[in-house]
Amino acid sequence: MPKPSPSPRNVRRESARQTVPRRRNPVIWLLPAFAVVLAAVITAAVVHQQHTGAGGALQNGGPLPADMERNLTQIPETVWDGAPVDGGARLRLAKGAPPAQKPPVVLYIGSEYCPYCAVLRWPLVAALARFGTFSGLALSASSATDAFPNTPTLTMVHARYQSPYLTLQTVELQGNVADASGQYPPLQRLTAGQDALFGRYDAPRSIPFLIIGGRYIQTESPFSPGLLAGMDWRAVAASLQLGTTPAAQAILDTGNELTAAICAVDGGLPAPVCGSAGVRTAAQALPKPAP
Amino acid sequence: MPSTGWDRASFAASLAGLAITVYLSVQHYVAAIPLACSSSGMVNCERVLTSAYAAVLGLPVAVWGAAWFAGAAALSFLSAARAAASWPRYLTLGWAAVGAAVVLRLVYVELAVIGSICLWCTAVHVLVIGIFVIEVLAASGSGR
Repeated sequence: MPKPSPSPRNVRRESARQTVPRRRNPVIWLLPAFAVVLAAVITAAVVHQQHTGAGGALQNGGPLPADMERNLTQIPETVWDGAPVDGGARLRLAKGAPPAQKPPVVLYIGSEYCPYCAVLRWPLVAALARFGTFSGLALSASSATDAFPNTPTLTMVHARYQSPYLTLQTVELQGNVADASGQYPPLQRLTAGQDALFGRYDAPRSIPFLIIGGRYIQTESPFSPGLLAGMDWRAVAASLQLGTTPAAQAILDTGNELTAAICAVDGGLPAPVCGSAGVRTAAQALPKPAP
Repeated sequence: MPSTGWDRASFAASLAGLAITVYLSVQHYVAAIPLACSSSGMVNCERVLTSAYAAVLGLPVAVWGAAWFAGAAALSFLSAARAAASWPRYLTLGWAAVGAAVVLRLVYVELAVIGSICLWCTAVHVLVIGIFVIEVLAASGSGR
């Protein structure tokens, strides 16, 4: 039996059903679109991370990664100014110091194995970065077998520093890995002039030793290495951008004090640094030379 | 508690996110409260939460996150209360879309710039994306 042909009216209805699409809410397309964007973001981030090494494994003796260097040497002034002041000046006056040199000399003497030197390098580098530019800094850690083992730090053994305001001299006397006899390998030697200053102002020749412009001396750890326990290099450097952790606050407090001391011997330059609120507060706590 | 299924799910996710972000906010300001998370290796909450990217306009990102989750919870109530109107649904969807866009930015910063992942932050990101998915499905009318 032949199939009856559809009437013209039925054809129009069928056609209408086929040509008028079912109404769908287009927001559902946000889901696949978001999934694609999320995948693209993660892919781009991983590729970027592999190219820049951000977050890559750090090694004792390895170079300072760019992200760490930025965090350490470009601390916002607001963070410097907001650092708490513990009120106890750690710098002391160098009695009978020779007339200040121009430009003033900052001399640091330490050793890589020494946890107290490890502590001092963080605020020292952060403070000096306000006056000039470092290169050649490398990652380091205090001895694994001494007190406060493996305290994260930087080594100055290959560091270079340029500043229009001061001259930096750094001496890392010994490394951080003891040999079979328990001795740490020698790294750098003092010049006769450095040795004379070291012996004159730090009779037991203990490290760290820091003398700023022949006027201010530091021979102790500015804070306990225990504050850096459990932190890695990146965590320490990154924390300086907000200044909220105890370690960051101790580093910034000491850094302001060192900055104030440098300002006191270089004529107060650069003015934006030396005139900042944090440095002015720290300057008030510096020991004053007798009139 | 909102009455529709989508809104109940969105509300529950918002409360979970609010709990995490409040914890991270309090931990930021009260040093005595420990950060229950690894602080070494790839998973390193401390590195992420103390980085330069952990604050916006002087406030920790966690505080902004808590405000966002509080807003999301309130909007899920509004959507349920005004179920007949479409504008609360689209307002909630817009709010969720803003959160999802911010998550994209934060994920990129964690992976590409900081090089570490914060597990608490990841949990928050999953909740934000979950709320976004819920709101898209709700707005598209799926299974309401």
